[in-house]
Amino acid sequence: MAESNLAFLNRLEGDSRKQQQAFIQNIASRLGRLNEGGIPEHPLKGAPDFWTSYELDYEERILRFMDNWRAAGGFTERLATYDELPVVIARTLRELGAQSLIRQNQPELAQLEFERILPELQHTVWSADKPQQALVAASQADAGIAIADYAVAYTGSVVMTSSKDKGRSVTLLPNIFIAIVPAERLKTR
Amino acid sequence: MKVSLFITCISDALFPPIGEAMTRLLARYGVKLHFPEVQTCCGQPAFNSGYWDEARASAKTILEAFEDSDFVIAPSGSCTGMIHHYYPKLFENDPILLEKSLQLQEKIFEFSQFLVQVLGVTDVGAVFPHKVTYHPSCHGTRLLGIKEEPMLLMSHVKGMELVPLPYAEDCCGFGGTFAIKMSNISGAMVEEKSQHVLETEAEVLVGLDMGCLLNIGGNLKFQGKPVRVMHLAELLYEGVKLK
Amino acid sequence: MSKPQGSSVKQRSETALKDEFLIDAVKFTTEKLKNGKLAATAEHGNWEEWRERGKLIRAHTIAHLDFYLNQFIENARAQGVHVHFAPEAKDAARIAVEIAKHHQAKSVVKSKSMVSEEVHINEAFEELGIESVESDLGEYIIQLANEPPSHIIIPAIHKNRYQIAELLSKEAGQTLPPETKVLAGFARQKLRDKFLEADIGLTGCNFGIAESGSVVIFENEGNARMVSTVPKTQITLMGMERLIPTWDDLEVMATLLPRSATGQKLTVYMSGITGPRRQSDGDGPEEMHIIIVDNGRSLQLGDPDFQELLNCIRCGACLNACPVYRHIGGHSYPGTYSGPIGAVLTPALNKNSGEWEDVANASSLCGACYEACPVKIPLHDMLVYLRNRKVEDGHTATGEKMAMKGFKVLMSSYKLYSKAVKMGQVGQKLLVRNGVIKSQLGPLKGWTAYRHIPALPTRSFREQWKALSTEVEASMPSMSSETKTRLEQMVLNRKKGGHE
Repeated sequence: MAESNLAFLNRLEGDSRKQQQAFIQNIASRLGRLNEGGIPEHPLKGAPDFWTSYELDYEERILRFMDNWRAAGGFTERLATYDELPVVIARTLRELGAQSLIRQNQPELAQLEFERILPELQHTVWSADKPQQALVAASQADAGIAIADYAVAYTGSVVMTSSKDKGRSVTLLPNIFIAIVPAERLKTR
Repeated sequence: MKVSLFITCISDALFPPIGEAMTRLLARYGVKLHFPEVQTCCGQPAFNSGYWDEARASAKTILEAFEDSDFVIAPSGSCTGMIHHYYPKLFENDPILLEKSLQLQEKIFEFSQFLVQVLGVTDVGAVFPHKVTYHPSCHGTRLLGIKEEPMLLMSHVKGMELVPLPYAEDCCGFGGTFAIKMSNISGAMVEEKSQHVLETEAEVLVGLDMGCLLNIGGNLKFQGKPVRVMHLAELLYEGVKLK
Repeated sequence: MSKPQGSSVKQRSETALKDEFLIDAVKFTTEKLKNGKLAATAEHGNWEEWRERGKLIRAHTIAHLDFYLNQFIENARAQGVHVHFAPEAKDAARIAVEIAKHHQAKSVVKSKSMVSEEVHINEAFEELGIESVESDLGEYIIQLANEPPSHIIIPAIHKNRYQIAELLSKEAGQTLPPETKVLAGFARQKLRDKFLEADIGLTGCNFGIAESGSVVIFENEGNARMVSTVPKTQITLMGMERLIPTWDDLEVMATLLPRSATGQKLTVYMSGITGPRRQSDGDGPEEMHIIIVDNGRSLQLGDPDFQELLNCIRCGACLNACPVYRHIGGHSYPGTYSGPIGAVLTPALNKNSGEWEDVANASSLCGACYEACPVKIPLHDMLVYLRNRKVEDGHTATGEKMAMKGFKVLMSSYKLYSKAVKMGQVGQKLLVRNGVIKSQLGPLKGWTAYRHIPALPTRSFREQWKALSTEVEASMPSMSSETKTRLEQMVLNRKKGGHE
């Protein structure tokens, strides 16, 4: 009879724990240590000082981000207020011919009332309660929309984390990805 | 003040005019060159092929030859680089010879380095009305960091048109025994280098290393191309004689 | 999957050198990548400082690999990751297959991983009838061609778009034009289904972050995200040395790697994965495994000549800088890895130098690889050390050993050396015509097939020295006092321990 999953994983873990000792010991003895030794000091951690003090001001960050994003082949627009968002997003999605939209389960996105401004689209909200359905919806949606956790001006990147309300699939599976970046979350590096 | 010449095996056997050019050129600055005759070869051919015992036998003659010199000058970035970069490794298990290697490291200079860094000379007063292109040898540039010195010296040569060599930093394919062992690959590399030289339409190809110049020059001759191949010392000396 | 015929680099390169398509394709792309790197690093500035920092961080990590690997493993386990150990390549394949079998997997979709190539994972899956599909476009193309990758970053570098169009057309069952957009579009559509249906997602790992047990993946296509998001089970293969201590250190790697590999400021995606999906998450794999691979890496630890080899961040910059690689392409090299890093790594991972082939000889030691390396690995030195190992182990040709013994005898004594030169001056008369030697006999052949050798002058420099120095001494000016002072000062600085 086939092993249950738990039994399988436990067996593998047992093997692995046994091997870990030998594996690490091999490394330590080759490095000339009898045992692991204490926590090593890592004085030159991270980027050099001249870099960690590098900062662009607010305006420069926005311009730099947009330049980089465009250079990488993306589209970007700058809006003065949140109020402008629904109109711009609606226009964009219509221009791109999107027929379906999936959004993260974020209150800021709910406030934008996509269902109302784009009634002709099929709308889904990411829900961790029904993962199978959510995945299918994401894989079939033309567009995914999320609010970025952060953005980085120097490289032109948006930073997304995942959680119960923020599925990885929303920013991954649809052909179109729209990230809303609150400017105050835009860092230099 | 003992300034000695490390002629290198290639220049000794194949290109005596280079040694002569160096001797006469440096004499103009009051530098009397010594030639300790026990020197044979820096040992690089054996060292690079992995034969370190054999390399040591040769390298010992170099350590002995220049033991009491204050400065040593070599017409080769490759041989000079061998001493700077690898002698300490070669002799790491011999405290006495290791010490000699470290001392030699401090006193040995490639030719253009000596002129510029030691003598402080950038204009030898040469006149050389020809179209010239320069090949920067790999060991000289990458191991010894020789980039400015030859350019400074050449920039002051009157009448000379220095044309940049396309893809100059690409290796010419010599690599010592590599040229024999992997002759097909080396051949492809030198053909490419010759191609770039010919693109410049230069009359003269100048460099700091006879290994490279023997390689590129040999291929150009093989192709029947009349490009003249010179070591920088030869070019500068001829330029000074012309005046 | 096999490499072209020929049991040595020399033989395989013979084939490559005659393949114009190959040479053109490789030249074109390596030059583009090399120039991209130069432009990106110049724009960013302070590149030497970044390289030094990168080197120090990686060297520190390797010097304390026992601590950091252990920290990584414990943190990963704490996040629910199942960690496994593969002392050898076959162990990695065995464990991955066991996981697949247990889950009754029918298909695996994988993102780019050189370690997966090293352990021949696709063959292992295929032996059991499990489909394993490459999702990186370059890897997908060569999988269709049944070839191994020929470059660490651009696996299909040796193919031009006409060849690619041909391969994809066969797969599509219709003729596709050799246009990038169309070809990529076809692959994208084909792979989409694979992502959504695969039972297992297999990824590599650019960096493991010890402080959190996270796996960081750099990619441009989004396929690694797909592979690590959709399938229920994820297996990540990680070389045991691919670690950095902290997220702060990742900033340095993220600065060095993309610029060195392709000239980008950052890859399109950089993913940080810390464990499988959490209880409350709606997606991500339910089960995540990391297989840590040794396969000869630990042999480098404690070896002062080769420990730095483990600093490598697999950026491929050395391949793009190497004139030899550019001429012979990746398939001329034995083993999984090509270019300068491959020329050192493939032998170094195998402690039996008798099996090393001649790959360490396929280098002119120009040092371009060292210059290009973002973490300053002295690959050009390591190639010489490998050659030395082979000699010390007695695995070189007798003819060569004899020649070197001859070299030793001649060069130990200037008298013998001078005699030899004299003999050459006399003996060459048989071969010299019009001042050059063209003969392609015997040992000369490799040289004279491409070059003429100048005749040895009748008198060597040292034979001329006495007359020359006497003449020069008689007429030379004396050294100016400024020059004298200058030289004396230099010598003085030296004796105090100063360096020029």
